[in-house]
Amino acid sequence: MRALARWLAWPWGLLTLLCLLVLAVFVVLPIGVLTLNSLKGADGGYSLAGFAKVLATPEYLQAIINTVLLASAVTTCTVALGVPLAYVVARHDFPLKRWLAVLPVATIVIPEVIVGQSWLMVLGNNGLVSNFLRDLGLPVPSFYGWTGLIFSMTLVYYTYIYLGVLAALRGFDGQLEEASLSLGATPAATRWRVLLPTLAPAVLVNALVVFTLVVGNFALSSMLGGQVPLLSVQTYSLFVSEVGGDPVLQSSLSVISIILVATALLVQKWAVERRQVHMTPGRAPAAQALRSWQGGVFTVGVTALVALSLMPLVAVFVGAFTEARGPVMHWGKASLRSMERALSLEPEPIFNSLFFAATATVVGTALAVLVSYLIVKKKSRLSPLLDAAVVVPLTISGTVLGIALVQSFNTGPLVLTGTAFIMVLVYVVRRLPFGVRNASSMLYNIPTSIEEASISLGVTPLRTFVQVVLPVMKGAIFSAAILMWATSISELSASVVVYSAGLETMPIAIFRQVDTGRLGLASAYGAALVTLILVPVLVLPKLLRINLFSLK
Amino acid sequence: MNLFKKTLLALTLVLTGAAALAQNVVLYSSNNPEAIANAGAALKKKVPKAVVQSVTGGTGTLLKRIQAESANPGGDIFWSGGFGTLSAFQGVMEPYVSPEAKAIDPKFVGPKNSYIGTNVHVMVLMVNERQLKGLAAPKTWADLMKPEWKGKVVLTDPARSGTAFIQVYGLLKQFGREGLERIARNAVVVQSSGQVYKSVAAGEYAVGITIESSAYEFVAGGQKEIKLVYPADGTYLGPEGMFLIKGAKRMAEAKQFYDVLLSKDTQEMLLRENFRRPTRSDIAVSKITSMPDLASLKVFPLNLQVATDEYEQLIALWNLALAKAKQS
Repeated sequence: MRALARWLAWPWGLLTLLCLLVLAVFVVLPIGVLTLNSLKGADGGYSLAGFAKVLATPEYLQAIINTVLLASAVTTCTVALGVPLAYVVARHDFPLKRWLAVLPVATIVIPEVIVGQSWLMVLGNNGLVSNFLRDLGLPVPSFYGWTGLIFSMTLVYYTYIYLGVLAALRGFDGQLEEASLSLGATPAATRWRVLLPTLAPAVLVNALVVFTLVVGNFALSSMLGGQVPLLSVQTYSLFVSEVGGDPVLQSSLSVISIILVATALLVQKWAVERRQVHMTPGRAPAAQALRSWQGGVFTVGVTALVALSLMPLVAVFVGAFTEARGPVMHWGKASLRSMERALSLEPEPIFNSLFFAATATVVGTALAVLVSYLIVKKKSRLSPLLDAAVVVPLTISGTVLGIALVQSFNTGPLVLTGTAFIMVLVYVVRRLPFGVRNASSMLYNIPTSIEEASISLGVTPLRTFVQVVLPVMKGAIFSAAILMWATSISELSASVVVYSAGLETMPIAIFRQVDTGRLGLASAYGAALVTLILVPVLVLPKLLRINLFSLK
Repeated sequence: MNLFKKTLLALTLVLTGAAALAQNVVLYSSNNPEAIANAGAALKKKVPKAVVQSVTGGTGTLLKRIQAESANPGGDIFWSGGFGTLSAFQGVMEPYVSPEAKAIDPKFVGPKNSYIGTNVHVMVLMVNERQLKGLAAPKTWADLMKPEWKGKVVLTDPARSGTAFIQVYGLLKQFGREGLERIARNAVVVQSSGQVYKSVAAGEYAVGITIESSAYEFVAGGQKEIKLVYPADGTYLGPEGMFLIKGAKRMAEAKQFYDVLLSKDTQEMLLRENFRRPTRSDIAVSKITSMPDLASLKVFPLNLQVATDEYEQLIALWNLALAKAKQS
């Protein structure tokens, strides 16, 4: 008993227990409910009938196959794009490189719903470029389906490969290459047999991240998917059309999505543990200046890629200030009508987004810092449990998380559907693993000795945490908060499932307007959304002197 | 534990409180956001404090949701669904005789005043002249059955959309199974009614079978190559209605909104702004828009109550016609 009391002593034991409880109620329980629902038989007992029905329905089976195919195709394309880009940036100097090397990072904070809408406005059936080509008498292939999906997703996700491989290349020991060359291997063979194997783990890890992101992707899948059935879209439409109905089928589809993502993550974990490459730091070869024409080629190539991936930012602002009459866009004619409508006539989605994202940023960042502190600095027998619970949200796509929360909190002792709480909840849960990861990596670098010094001087543990640890972590906390803000405010896939009357956010408004063909108003909300994301991301790091994306 | 529960409770109260304050009347609607916004503005004119909160979705989806929520209704009023569909959901409706109902033609009032017509859909052919490629625009349903239209006509799966159901049902009643088969031979079938007018506007198909209000949006928006054709051999009508949800938590506000939606001002405004053809007998459509008056159109009459009873049969016949078309 006394041991238990000491073990639970205020504050850390109790706080660990509290965090575990929160995660158990809002993360583990919903997945449990979802899994149980998927196993419900017609007679009330347990059966695999739901899964059998999924596999027997050609549409769903095709959706599962398509999702795996799409994820593989996009992963391959992002690797093909991201690895050479990282290599060129790490190893060569060319004009404008300083700017061009950072810009791809911006793709991470552009909301996917805006990417989807923008490509629709430019290359869709009634798109600006499509109509222009059609007027010239050229045949225009449909952008909807595989073409649009692979194209747009590659441009959104290549950044993950780029950043991961860039970091690996910067940590690469150049002497290995020199050794290979001096032993008579050609430069090409050296790249193939020395550089590539050492980069492989970084590529594989980030490729699997891309794979899971594609499986969970909802915005681009539903906006550009056309007639290609995909798992996330099918799960969503099943949920929308079966509200209040039999949840077995939607649960089964959801569980299949979890299995797909969890498998990818397990492979990733296995890869990380098996193929670790240890490098002597600080021996990366310097970048070579290129001959003028070669430098020009690289600049043009990289600029084209960056321009393509940032095009949505331009398109959404042009669309917002273009005259729109009903569903018809009058390109080339400026008008403030759409902006006026979004900002002054129907501003509710903007206020909702601000309120939910701000709350989620405060709550989520605080929780992430606390949890990572408990995991890293206050190890107890419960820590591994907490560590595991925190990564669980990574296995659930937004759509599935939304469905799990609705199934768990629609009835019963805790009713959350229809409240703003559930909106904030999905934002916090989805971002928690990333927040904890950021905060933990910072915490590992803070020596425990400074805390011990404070405590031995008679300061209480909690005050030490507030007055000593938090100030040291300030930079990490701010950058975690800014990223939390940017990603929460653009969240669509889970919130579109759990939202109800009066809780509409900007991404949901954009999604709805695009669905009914109102591209002008959708762009106006998009412009507001992008502004609310980019201003803090660009301005705050300068003001607070923090490095948001540790690129160097 | 205590601290956690307290914080959770406080947080829940703050968050839900914020949402509850703004809550006034909850509208379940299958209409597009602009029509909903306009209706909300009309209500605000009469009741300045009123706020309309909308949950949108397909008609069938929302009606099923209302049925599922009947023990604890989340919505107060539903606007709008086809008469054929509505007649099957009378159990969740609260009958009401609005003071405005006098101006509505009795054929647009549901049984026992459980629902009432707000607007009438007229089935049209939406033509993209740029995609005609030398063909003359069709004038009748019968024109569309000619072989030169193969692959150029798009329509919605009647199992997926109430208005598409009326279109296909009308074709069956007017032209019999043979007519249905000839249409099936030429048609491209899509899964949502929105896809029909969007893809015709986008130039994917030359002709779409759709509803007047959706197609007219592109004409009014200034897309010059889009023309509306009212089939000269007789078009079909699809009245749409609204109802109060039984057990609505804000019934008084819902009734206010109901009256406002039926009023002459609102119906004229929805005609002008959203091209909804009114059910009121005292509004002259051709004076407000360039759409023709209902009286000037040839209408092939359909009984939508009977149509609903024959739903399964029609879907089966249509699928049979499609299967036959595939073989030939």
